[in-house]
Amino acid sequence: MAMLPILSRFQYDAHILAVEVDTDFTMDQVAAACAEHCINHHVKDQPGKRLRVRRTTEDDSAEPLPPEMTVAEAGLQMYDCLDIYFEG
Amino acid sequence: MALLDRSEWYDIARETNWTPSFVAESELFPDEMSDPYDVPVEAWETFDEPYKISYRQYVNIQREKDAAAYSVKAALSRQRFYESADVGYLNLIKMHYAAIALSEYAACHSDARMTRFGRAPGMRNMATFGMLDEMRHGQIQLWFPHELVGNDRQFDWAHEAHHSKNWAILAARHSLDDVMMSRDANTTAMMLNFAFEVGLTNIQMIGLANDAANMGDYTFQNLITSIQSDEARHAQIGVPVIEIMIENGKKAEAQYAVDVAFWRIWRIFAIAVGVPMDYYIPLEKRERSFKEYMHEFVITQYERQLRDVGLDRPWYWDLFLDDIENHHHCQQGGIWSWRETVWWHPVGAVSPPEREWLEEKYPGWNETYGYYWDVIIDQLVKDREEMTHQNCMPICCNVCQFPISNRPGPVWKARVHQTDHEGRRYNFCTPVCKWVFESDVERYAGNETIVDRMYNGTIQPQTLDAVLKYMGIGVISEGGRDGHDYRWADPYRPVADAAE
Amino acid sequence: MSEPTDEVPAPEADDFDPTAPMPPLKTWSHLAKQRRRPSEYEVVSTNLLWSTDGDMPWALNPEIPLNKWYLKYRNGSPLRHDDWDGFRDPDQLVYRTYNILQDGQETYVDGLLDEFSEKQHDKGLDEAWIAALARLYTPARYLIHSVQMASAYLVQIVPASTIENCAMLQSADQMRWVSRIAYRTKELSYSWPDARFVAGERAAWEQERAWLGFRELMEKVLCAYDWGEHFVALQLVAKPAIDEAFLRQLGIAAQRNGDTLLGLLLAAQMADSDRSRRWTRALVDYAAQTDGNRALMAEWIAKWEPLGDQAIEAYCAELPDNPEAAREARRAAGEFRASCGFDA
Repeated sequence: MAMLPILSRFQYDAHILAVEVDTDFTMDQVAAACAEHCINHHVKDQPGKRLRVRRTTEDDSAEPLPPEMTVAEAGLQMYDCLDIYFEG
Repeated sequence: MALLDRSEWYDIARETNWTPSFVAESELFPDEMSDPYDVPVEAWETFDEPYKISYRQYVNIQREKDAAAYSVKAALSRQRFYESADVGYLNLIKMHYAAIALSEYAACHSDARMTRFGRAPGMRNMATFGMLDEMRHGQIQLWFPHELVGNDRQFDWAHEAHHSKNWAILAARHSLDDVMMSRDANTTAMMLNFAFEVGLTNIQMIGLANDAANMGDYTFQNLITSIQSDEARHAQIGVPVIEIMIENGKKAEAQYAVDVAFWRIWRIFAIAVGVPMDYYIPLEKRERSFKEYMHEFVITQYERQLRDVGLDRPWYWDLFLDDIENHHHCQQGGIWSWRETVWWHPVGAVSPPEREWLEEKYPGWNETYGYYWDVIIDQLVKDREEMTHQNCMPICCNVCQFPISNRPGPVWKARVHQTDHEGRRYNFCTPVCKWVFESDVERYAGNETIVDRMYNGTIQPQTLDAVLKYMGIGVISEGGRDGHDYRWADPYRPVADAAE
Repeated sequence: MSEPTDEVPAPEADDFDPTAPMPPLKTWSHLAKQRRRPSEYEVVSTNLLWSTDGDMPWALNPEIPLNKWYLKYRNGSPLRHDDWDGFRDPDQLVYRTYNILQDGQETYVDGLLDEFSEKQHDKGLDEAWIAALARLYTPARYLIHSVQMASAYLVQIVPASTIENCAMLQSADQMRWVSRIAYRTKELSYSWPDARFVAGERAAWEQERAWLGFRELMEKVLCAYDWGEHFVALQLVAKPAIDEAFLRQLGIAAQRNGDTLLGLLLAAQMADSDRSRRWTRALVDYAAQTDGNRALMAEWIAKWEPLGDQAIEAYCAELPDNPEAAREARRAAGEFRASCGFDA
């Protein structure tokens, strides 16, 4: 395990944050780590909705990464940008 | 009077080029300091500065200009004004002096480069006045805030800011070093004198001066108006340089220099001027919005100036127009959210009437930036002030150094633009900053933003406190807190109470 | 509000509160350390360069030409001092006092020009002296302009703002005299239309034997890019040579040829040079606080002095009615260096 700064592009926020995640983190844990800095800071909470993680792409069309997939398994590198968004 | 008129001898004083024979021309005027464009010296000798003045006139006029500014009466009136000024307006003053005083002084180097390495004698003489002008602007803008360090420690930043590694100063330094400190004489003239001074300083010198007058801060108004009267003179150095470049087949090079500089300085000015105009000046004193000032005093004029000099609008014009309605609103949010990182006390300034004004001036504001502030307001009315602070860092642009941001809310426009170079990933705020980087990778590669320094071990330990100290917070002065103690959020409380 | 203090407290690690108000100061924090009331000069002139703060002058790639230039010629100069920012101009001039001073000086010069013009001074000069002026006086705008340029190089390359300001005002002083020489060139051409005033100066500067030495000296000084060497070559060799040969010895020849106006103009220019000499001497003394610097500066003087002497000899040899000129000028230039602690 190792700490890795990824970029969190959190739905509705104005800023993109540098968030340190562990390479062992699952995508759910990544989403939670990012949410801690955004929800009720700059983004309204949406209770009941699940947060998903996908790689940031030009047209926002990437498939969400599996919730149990780890950062290492996803092959994420320093400063890779992820969309964190509410499902549904 | 039996004295000659200036016009009788002026041309003789600018016939000072000679052909060296003891050293090579290339040694006397090395490309990297002088002219990398290979424009023949005969072409440079056609340089004709539009604004002419003699040394004798200069010292007389400038002496008179300073007499009023340095009077005891003016000092007393400044002191009285600042003792009762609104904190929002004090923010403007604190930002201004910290950003500007040493920057203006630094421009002495730029003018000295033209005085020594310019190929046109007229340019060398005008730049000599330019050096003196910038010395004036540096010194007077240190003298005024120095009167206030006894009132408020944050005024120490007027001198210390540029010696610090505060994120906002890293932004200023990167663009100023790029545009005015590290270029040859001719590129400096195109970038600094034309793109920066002709293109953008009006927003400061007209817009800010108007707002200062509305506030009743007449000495500040007089100061920047007086400074602008100097800028209007030495800014003229850029125009003939560009014309000569174009006449000699170097239009693309001139266009590039001007476009890079205009964008780089714009990104700074939007914060140094846009945020104070639309948020820090009390609502009832705002004459126009930042956008209105930009359209009236920058956009229309700059388009005309570009045309007059023979250049085109920059390729990124539409992105620039969009940035006028976006960049400073995002950074107002960011500066307020990370308010302990700055040397002033940011004000939220989004009470209902202020929002009404913002929506009127920037249609769609409520849907976007309003969404962001609603979240903050919600926490404040629930007495969860701690939630309005941030304990991580926004990623910053490897060119402009600002937090990478864009419209929040349902439109969700934030997006990072990236490039990989020699095993490193670089982050950019916009396609324009990315273009700047990629257009001259060897120049920009290796840059480390405040966030990069956190992760590459420059800042130790990797804690927010360490970052704050690294940035001079708690060292030079205390950092910022909400300047109005959240009073701007009070009107939202009854509504929230009723809802509960 | 708490009382202003001189202290610059370092925050403690464990109780760090980034927004806890810090006491106001009596002056800039960097001047508070000297524990006395700073002058206006110090408030607005000291520690203004950011490019000397870290290892890299400009916040761009270390390999860009201008970073390499500053690393080599400024940061890498063998002339070293731990605290160049500690240097102070003995005249403590700031922008606004410079204008007050020079506005007064220019009013004086305007008065001279007006008065001598009223008296039709130029028409009264004799033809041989007019020919001498066309060869030895009016071409000097090239020489003085080269000093304007060289001073501007110092402005951008010295390691402290207090040194930079001295160089800046010196560059402006040179433009002052380029302008006044241009003025006189035109004025003389009205009274003496056939004497090649206005038309002949560039050729004289480029070809006349009198100017060859100064032109060689200044072309080489302009290319001495190490800031320390540039300072020594310009301030301790070139300028003193110009002061003594051109200002002083031409002035003596002028008086002997009934050209009172030129004598007074050159004396007025000398007042600017005297100010330049004061800060030059102060900077030599300041630099000499570091071991080895005096010897280094002496080496540079030894390297440049022959070019200075050669310039004096070539110019003074052409001066009419002043057979002692070269010897006197060399002696006086050496005397200035001796006053800076460099014996011949």
